Amino acid sequence: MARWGMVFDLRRCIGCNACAVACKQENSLPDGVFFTKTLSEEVGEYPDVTRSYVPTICNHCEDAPCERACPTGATYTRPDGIVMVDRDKCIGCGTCIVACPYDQRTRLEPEMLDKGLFGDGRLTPFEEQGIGRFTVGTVVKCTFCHERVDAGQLPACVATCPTEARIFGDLDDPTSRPRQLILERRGRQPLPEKNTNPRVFYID
Amino acid sequence: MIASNRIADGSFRVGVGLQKAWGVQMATAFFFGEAGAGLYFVAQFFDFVLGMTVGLLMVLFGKAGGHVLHLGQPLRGWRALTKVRTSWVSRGLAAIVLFIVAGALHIIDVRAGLLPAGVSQLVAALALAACFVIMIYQGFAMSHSSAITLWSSGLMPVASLTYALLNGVLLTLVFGFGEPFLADRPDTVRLLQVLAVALMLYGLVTVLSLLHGARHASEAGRQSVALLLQGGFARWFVPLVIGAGFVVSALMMLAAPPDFAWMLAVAGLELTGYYAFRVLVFKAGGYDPALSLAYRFRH
Amino acid sequence: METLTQPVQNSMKPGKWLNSSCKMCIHSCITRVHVTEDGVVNKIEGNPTSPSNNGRLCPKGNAAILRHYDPARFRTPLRRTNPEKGPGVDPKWVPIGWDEALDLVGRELKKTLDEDPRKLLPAINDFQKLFLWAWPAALGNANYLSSVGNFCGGGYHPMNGFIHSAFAAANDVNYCNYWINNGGGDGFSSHLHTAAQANHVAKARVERNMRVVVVEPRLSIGAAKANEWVPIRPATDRQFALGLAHVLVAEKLYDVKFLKKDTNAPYLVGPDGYFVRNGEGKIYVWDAIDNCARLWDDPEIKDFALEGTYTVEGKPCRPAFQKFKDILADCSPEQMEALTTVPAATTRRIAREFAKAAQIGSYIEIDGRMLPLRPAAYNYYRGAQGHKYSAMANQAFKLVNFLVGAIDTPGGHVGVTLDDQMQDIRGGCGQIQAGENGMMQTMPHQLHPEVPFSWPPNETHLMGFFPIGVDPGHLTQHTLANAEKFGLDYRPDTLLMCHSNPLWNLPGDREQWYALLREMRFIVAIDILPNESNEWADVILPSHDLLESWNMTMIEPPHHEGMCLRQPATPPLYDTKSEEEIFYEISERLGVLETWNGILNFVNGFHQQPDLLLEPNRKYSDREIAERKGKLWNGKDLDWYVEHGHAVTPRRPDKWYRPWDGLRLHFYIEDIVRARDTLRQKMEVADVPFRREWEWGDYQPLPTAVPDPVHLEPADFDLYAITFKDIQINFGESIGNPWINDIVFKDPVHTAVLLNPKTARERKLDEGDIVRIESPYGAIVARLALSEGVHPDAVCVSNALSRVATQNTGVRHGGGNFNQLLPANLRHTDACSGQPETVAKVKLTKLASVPADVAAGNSVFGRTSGKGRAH
Ligand code: SF4
Ligand code: SF4
Ligand code: SF4
Repeated sequence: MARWGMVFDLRRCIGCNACAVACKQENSLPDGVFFTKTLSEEVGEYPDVTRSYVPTICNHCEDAPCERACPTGATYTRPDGIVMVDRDKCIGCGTCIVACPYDQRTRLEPEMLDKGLFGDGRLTPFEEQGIGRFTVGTVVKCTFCHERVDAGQLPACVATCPTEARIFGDLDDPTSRPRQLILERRGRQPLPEKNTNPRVFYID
Repeated sequence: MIASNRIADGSFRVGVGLQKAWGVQMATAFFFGEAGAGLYFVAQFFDFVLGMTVGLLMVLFGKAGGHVLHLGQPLRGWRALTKVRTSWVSRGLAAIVLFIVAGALHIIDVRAGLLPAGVSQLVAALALAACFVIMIYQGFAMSHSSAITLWSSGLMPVASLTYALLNGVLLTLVFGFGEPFLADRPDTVRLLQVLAVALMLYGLVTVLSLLHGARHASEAGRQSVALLLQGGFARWFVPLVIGAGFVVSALMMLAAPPDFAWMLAVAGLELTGYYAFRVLVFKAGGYDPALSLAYRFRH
Repeated sequence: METLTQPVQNSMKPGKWLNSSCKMCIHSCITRVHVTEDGVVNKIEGNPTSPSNNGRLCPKGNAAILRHYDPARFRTPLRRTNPEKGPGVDPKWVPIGWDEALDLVGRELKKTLDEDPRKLLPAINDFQKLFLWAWPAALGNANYLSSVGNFCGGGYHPMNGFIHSAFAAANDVNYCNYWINNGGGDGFSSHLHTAAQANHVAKARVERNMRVVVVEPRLSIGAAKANEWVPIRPATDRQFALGLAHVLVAEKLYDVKFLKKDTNAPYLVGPDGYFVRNGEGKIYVWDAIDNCARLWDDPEIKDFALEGTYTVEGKPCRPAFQKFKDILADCSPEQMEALTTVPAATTRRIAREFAKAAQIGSYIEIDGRMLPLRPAAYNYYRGAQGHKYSAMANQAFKLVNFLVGAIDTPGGHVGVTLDDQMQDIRGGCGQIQAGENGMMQTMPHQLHPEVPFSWPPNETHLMGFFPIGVDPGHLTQHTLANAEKFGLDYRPDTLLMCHSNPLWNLPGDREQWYALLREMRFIVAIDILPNESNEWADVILPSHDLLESWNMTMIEPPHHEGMCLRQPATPPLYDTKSEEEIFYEISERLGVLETWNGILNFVNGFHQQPDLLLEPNRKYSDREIAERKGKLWNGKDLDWYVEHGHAVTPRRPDKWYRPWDGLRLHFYIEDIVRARDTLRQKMEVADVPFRREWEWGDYQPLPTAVPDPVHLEPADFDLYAITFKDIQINFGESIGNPWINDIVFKDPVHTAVLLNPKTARERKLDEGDIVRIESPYGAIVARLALSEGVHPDAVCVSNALSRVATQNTGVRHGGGNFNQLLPANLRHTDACSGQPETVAKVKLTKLASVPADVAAGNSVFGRTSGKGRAH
């Protein structure tokens, strides 16, 4: 069984957020909800200044505090390491949201779904075909595109990333691209001090 | 400045993100939890039925009710009982259920003496134990996860317990004022007053240590503390939590004549400070940026 | 009811995938579109079989679905009922039927044509159906009310035509190791096929360690990713390039062999600026060994002199190279620093690094051909060249590449054709042809043939006065305001727009544009969504969107070629038509069907293959035109394209690298001098009254360091305002799309105007302040954000803040359009290329609060989140 993980190449990423939009398309996310987003940070002082672009996503933590904190068992980890939320069990208490050190979870509020993407309270056919997967009041987050991955495809954000800054694969397989990149370019996990053992690594 | 404002505020900047999941509703529930349980706890020592009843009702309606209001899917709230193995929220809920049942039984028992002695003691002990869990678990629920530095301190449960006891003592002084167990025993009143002042001092030290620890623990901690002490929340936090909640109420308690109005005033001030603590500590809770070059650059 | 087994991810749901291509910007990344069993488009991805975009899409391409389903779309033809026209004024459109609409348009246009066909102002901007641009020619009309120079490059395209005989240019990512980007986002945020180019450039950067140096006033995405950001004062890029050239020449870091053999650098230039010719018109060079003049093709020549002063045929003369060297004498990095603020030491170091990386003298064998390998190239685009002396700026950048021999070589700076029309013939405008005296024929007209000079002028934008330029649409404001001076013997009263938003893209005073539009007797717009310009229309003709129509194109892909199919993913959602059908219907009503088919045959290249010719009196569908274009490219019919999606392959090396082998390139552009003198003569003959005021100094065969007039504005305008687009919004009108809004208005560089903190402190300004940004020509309002990534002299205005309130309430507006800070007059227009100045000198004034009219609605600077739309 694979253990899925992702590597973000900070040298490649241009902060375009095609990833964020691809995810919204693939997952019919409501307005303002992101499963992944790429942030920017200005570093230094003129003229010695640069800006870094930092993609963020649910890290599908090996030791997921969201799962531990969840009082209902709605958050669970699949055998392949993907951390999921069972919307039929989630009560929307938000405990997982404040337990996730990476701010990767969102509770679906009624207005998010009712307003529609165009904010006029009407849903387009695109939204209508997609909205059924969401239950108001429950918590959502990135699923590593579990269905695409199950079908042998790459997550939507990975597939679209123009610079190939997102590298997805099996972290248990020493020959996989992510494993090799982590090794070669000394991948580091986000906020290791939080003891979550993320399955997402950054290389720069 | 794009570079220097470290609160990301929903924008796509690397920075500290403030948590928005737990707000006033949750703070209110927490408030009633630690006020109600505290009151019950102290009241049970004195078999003070009114205190116990009020405490129990606060937990039932204020705490449990507040939580239900907060839930996204309240109808399946019962599911929260299923993960006591790892989840403090789950444990807390179990304690609430147990407390309500045992506490109610105990109150009835104290009034009507229904239960056989052994069972009666067991129920009393269970109620007290569950009550104790309620007084402390909220702190654990917050500190257990490392996500939010301001909350993740080991002092959080201590603060919970301290506040709960303090609330209990003060509410007992208020609700019990004129009741025989106090009216007839000025030394008990004195004792409770001294205890209150001690708890206030202890609470102050705990809260300040908590902030001190958070400030040095991470960037988010630093920003949270800055928000509370200098930033947007300081105009509430400093006068209410520190001033009214600890300093002024402690001084008043020291000077307090045995007078209902004084007790009420002190309790009011302290509870206001405590409520502000609950709300503001939620609001100021922030996540660390997953990866920040600038922060590392500067520190 | 949802069953447990039904997938929740859109691309996994039952349905079908269709091959298509994107049109969220002008380029055409190759896509696949997923349509559910119920016929709903629910996912668009890059097509992994595309060697160009490699299965990738930028955010705009990822957001196409929401344009398709945008509730603000025009659903039927519409007719205005509100006689009052104005910005943001509700036209009170009422739906009408197609017959009525087309008859109405036909009748009104007929009236215009009967009076004077010149009274029509067309603004046709669909870049993926470029043939539509030629429609006004069917009416004998060459007017054009839109700005090309303002959003890409007025000087850029003609210069690519001069140098490469191509429409665009790119650095060759396949081999380049040292990549200078100046004022363009190629490979990062904008310019050619952003998703594709970002893909290839990222690979080169990370896998080959290609060094990137970005020269720009603002820390753009490219600058952020670069190995080095060189901040530069706006509107001084040319001087920076000349500083580099100075070092390359002074330190002899140039490719002598290339200059001597492959360019006209050795050709002798006389005092009049023309090459010195013999009686038969043959050009002289100087033989440095035999020390005598020889004709350029004399087999006896031992060595071409690049330097020196000689006398030939009685005329003092110098090799073109020497002429440039003379100019460079005054362009030392130290002298240029005073203008550019780039430290001289930096310029010197970059010049040396660049020359070293260029590996002058090295070769590489590709497809059995030995080619010079020059893995260093200087690329530039809109901002760097968007100045008054644009032709000079463009040429200065090209000359840096010339000096190291990096023109059209592997790793160098390479010409990019617009839309190759056949596999065997490099058809259309991009063709390489031999010119006179061994030189390549220059092809400055990459968009349409030269518009003949006329007096009184036939075109309100004076196109006939720009024999080597791109349409300066903005000049219409200037000429109509001074109609007498410019000899206009008519006033346009009709406007036809097609996927065009001139009120957004044109520089100049808004009130004057509004006045011009108010003068229009009739305005018709072919479009998809309401915008600043089409809300003035009397009739709206709604067109299909990219998911409902057929097309076949490949727009200036940097490293690839071949047709990409666009096909309908769903039947039209509303009562819309294809552009082809609309123009055919109008043509028929105007009686120009035959002419239009003739033009279509020519501009699409169908004349090259008789079986593809359109019959004179038939109307063709978008599908039929697309099919022909596909066949012309590779002989395959539409079914083949439907199955394969595209015919895209890497550019053939023989067409891509030195397709002009054996000809000489134009180091020195004599054609510019000739164009000047021909025009001058025509003006003399016609006795054009303003001929002495004409900016004759703009026509230079070699660039000089003379500062652009923007630097001469009154001193109290002490800062330079620039505008920029990033990948979420470049080359398109994507603001208003909820997904694009959702990412753009969270990005700190797009939600406020950027200023350097030190500059702000000096002016007692701070983060969050509301300011009025005022140029000598207009003013806008903005909120400030302080950023270290800004040159101290620059005020950087994201184009996302340049929309104004319209009928489309999903489009968030800023505090006015940046373009209204810019002049639309001759003084700030390059007479040589038609390029308007795109930098404005400004001053900032702090305001107490956001003005009420700006804060109203969904302004980015308003209080509300601006999420909701009013319907
Ligand atoms: S799509 Fe790729 S390059 Fe763009 S922001 Fe996301 S990770 Fe970065
Ligand atoms: S990143 Fe957050 S939501 Fe994702 S597994 Fe880790 S803790 Fe859970
Ligand atoms: S893996 Fe899929 S669900 Fe997760 S962020 Fe990427 S696109 Fe979204």
